[in-house]
Amino acid sequence: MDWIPQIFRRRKFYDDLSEEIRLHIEERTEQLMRDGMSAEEATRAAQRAFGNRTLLEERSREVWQWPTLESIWADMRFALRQLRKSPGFTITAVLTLTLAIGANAVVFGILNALILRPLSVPQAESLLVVQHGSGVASHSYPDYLDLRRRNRSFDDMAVFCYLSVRAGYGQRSIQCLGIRNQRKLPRRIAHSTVPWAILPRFR
Amino acid sequence: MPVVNRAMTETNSRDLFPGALEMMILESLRREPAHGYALVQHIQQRSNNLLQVEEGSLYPALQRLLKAKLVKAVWELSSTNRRVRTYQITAAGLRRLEQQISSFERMFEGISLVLNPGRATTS
Repeated sequence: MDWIPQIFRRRKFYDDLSEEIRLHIEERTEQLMRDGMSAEEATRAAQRAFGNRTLLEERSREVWQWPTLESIWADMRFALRQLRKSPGFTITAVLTLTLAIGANAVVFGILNALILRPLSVPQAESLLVVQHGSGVASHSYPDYLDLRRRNRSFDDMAVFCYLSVRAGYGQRSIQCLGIRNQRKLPRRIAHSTVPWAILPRFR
Repeated sequence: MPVVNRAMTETNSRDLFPGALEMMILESLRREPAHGYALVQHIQQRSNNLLQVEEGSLYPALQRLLKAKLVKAVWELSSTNRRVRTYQITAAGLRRLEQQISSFERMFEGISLVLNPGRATTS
């Protein structure tokens, strides 16, 4: 975990390095002046002897860096600067992405709630929809009462309505659920889709 | 005449093998602590000027040694009352130096045997 304090001390490392290099060149210059060179010649000779100061200082700093991450970070900062320079393009791009991502999120959310996720009831796999032989899943309330009275297959039965409050006595607009705790389905149960429902507690 | 002036990833016929500069720096510091300019002078003098060290190339090597904690650095005043950053070898640096010298001697012996198979080498 030595790299953590290094992050915070990097500025000090860089400052020490710059100062050290400056003092090195200064000492070399003074040595050359003692040997008889003029100040200007000595300075040039010292810098030549040292080499490419910028490149060497950069290579020395790289020792304390993570080149790949630093490069990615530099690219991101550049991209942000470019986006700041073109506000119109930036706003258009951001709005487009927001709409597209938002629309996808809504669609997926609905899909997830309706189809992908099971109902938050215990043993959701034991909920069955009762329908007529022709595949019609709607019943009238008297039909439901009749089914319930004659029920021999399910542990309990309930009714619900799809997104509507129009269900009423005599209208064929309610759905009937059968609830079983057994895994094997009887033949007359044709369909096991689990729809939206607010169900009473069942045993 | 070999010149020590390149990063370890770039080599040409004048460059020493990778790690040579670090090894010479550690050996110089083992004798006595020194700052960057003094190290350059020491290496050139000890090699009878056979090795021409590009002075700036010392600093990336020193930073690598610092990062690996093979040396440590302190700011102090030199004997000429000049502010310098003096490097000292650490215990880990001494161990690494011994390993590098041992490895170098084995390599040198191997090369000598290839170049002069009839000559016995002394260890």
